[in-house]
Amino acid sequence: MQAGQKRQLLIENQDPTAEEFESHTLHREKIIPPHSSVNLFIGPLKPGRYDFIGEFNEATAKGVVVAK
Amino acid sequence: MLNAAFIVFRETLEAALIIGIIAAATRHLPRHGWWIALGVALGLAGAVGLAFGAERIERWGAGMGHDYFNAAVLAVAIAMLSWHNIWMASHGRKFADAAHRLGNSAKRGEIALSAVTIAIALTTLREGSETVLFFYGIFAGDGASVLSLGQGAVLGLAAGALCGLLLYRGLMRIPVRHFFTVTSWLLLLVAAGMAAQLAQILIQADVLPPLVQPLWDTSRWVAPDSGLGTLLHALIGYEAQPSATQVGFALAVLVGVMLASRHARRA
Repeated sequence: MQAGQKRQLLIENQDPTAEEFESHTLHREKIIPPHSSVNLFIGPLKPGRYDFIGEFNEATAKGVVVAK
Repeated sequence: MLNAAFIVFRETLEAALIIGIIAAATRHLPRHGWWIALGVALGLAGAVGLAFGAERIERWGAGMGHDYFNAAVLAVAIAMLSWHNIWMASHGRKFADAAHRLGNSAKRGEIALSAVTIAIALTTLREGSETVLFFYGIFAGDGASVLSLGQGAVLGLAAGALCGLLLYRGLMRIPVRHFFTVTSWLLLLVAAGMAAQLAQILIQADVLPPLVQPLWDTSRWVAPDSGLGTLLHALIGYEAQPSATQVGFALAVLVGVMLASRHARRA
């Protein structure tokens, strides 16, 4: 995404169990119920890589937001 | 198994620490244990209800339902804790000196305790609902992992409760002349931490701007992932990189309650 801009993320949980989207660097934390999606806003961000995880399945649920 | 233990531990730690402080801070009020237990029970019942109603809440509010709900819960909890502190400022001394007084005093004590029960119920509700959702996810898995994850979760729960108990015991050791000052300050810091969390939720839902992000960065001194960082976050909502809005909210609660307490003490 663009650095310096606010964006809305739509996070979809396709599993039958809940997940918690969490990112220390993005300062976001939100529960996503099973088979649902949630919205949250991130940014404006400085350029860089921002990691996020699914806290309930930390070993496998990982991702990155790259701001340029 | 340890992974599950960690997750549940972190969720229960926050509630357990707050309950520990409140249990100590209300030691002089009659039957305070009963009220606290009621708060926990109500919170747990609510947490189960919330976990199962999570989907419906999320859809309400165009995907922000959960954030609005959490924000409302935090706001009320902050109000209850603030009210308790201010009430203690005006009545606390009298209670500490005459712990056995009945009648009118007992009734005022009950009003203070009901505020505390609400604060505990709401805190348990918030942390508990995440734990319940996590537990539910465990039991949806296969048999082998259920046992291992279940053990981890129970371990985490016990560890969190133990920390709350340790804090309570530690506080009870403080000499009486300092005791209420310490517990009042702790509760005030807890309320300020909740205010910072409230601000964060509103920023996440795009209701408030972060203004300056971050206002400062203390992750070199206390990393948010470290043991101390986790403890401070659970207790007073410590953020290594807080936004200006978060700091503003926390300061507003700190200063607001301090001023109101001072005024109440003089009245």
